Amino acid sequence: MTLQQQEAPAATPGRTHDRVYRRIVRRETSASRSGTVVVAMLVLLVLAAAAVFAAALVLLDQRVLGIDPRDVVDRAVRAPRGLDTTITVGIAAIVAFLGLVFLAQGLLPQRRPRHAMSSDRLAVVVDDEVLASAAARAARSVTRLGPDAAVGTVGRRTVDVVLRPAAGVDVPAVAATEAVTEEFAVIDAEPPITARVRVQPTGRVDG
Amino acid sequence: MNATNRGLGRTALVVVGLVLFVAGVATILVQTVPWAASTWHDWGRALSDLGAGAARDASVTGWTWVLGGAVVLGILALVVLTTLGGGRVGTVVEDDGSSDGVAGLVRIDAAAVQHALSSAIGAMPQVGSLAVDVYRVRGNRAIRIRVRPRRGASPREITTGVEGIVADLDALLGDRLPVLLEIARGGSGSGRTDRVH
Repeated sequence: MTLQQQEAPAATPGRTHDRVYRRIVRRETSASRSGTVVVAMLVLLVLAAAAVFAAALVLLDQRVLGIDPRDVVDRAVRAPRGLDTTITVGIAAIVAFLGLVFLAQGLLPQRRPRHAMSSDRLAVVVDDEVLASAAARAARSVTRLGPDAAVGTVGRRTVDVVLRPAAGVDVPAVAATEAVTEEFAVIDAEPPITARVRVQPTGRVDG
Repeated sequence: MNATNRGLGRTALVVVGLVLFVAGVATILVQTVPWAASTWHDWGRALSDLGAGAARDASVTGWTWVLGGAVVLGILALVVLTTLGGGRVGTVVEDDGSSDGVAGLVRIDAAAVQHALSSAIGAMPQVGSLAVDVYRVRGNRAIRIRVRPRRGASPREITTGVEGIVADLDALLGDRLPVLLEIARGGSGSGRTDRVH
């Protein structure tokens, strides 16, 4: 494949897919609600099935376990008379809480721990864990620390690298900060990330 | 990247959530606040057709409405469930040459692109494992490349490498398909440090 000449992309200008890429990146960086949607629809299906069952009982003039759906409606209309307050309020509170959870899932924005990256040709999303490990590697590359001595944490706009040198080892913290900053300038994440490197003063005792 | 209609799903969630929340709170109010209970008794007269005291004809009409409403509700729920997921397709390019007036059909299977991209990207030293899938996005085809890099690999190096490979693919297909590169955590080989720099 690498032997192919690269004239074809230039021959089809105007196909940059900006809108498709925006849509894809937005969908890939926000959390999927499909699990909650499935639960909500199952709740709806159970309720609908119960109503169909009750209606069928009434239309066929049957009763199950000695209960007639018409009596149930009568008792509900007479509420709060004849109903146990604790049980009714308890069940109603559970239903209201379930509704609140569905509402929150439907309305609140939820991000996945991911960042978008700039690219001329691709839509790129990176897991924050990958960015953190790249930051740790960059900080370590200018020091003489072992692979486990640098730990990176990536937030939405910051990356924190903690260096934990063995006792007595001097660490060039400024050079490490520069290396991480340079790494993230090249990565060019969206939203932008600023780097911070800390050296943990309490040294470890190991090789 | 899949074909889930997220707008529909979230609308359904908001509607169901609102109904359940209002029903729960209203039940608590009716049970504990006398004023709410008297309002409920006023409204309750509208439900008298569904009660035991109603005439047979009125009862049948009322419960038939309940039956119909429940069936419609169930079908709506099933419709929402069927919109979840899917969207993966087996062909990347399907062109019958109608724009040039040439007879014949060109079809490129997803498997061809998957193999080409997998072997090219898998050869990169930073890549631990990868998966290539073709999806339908807004009527068009889009390729998703999910790369699981080795530990400490630079995302920019991976992106630049994949950009070059995708440019070759563009030349091969004669078309610029939208491509998503997803650099994901974990996967085989991600525990080992990338030793090739």
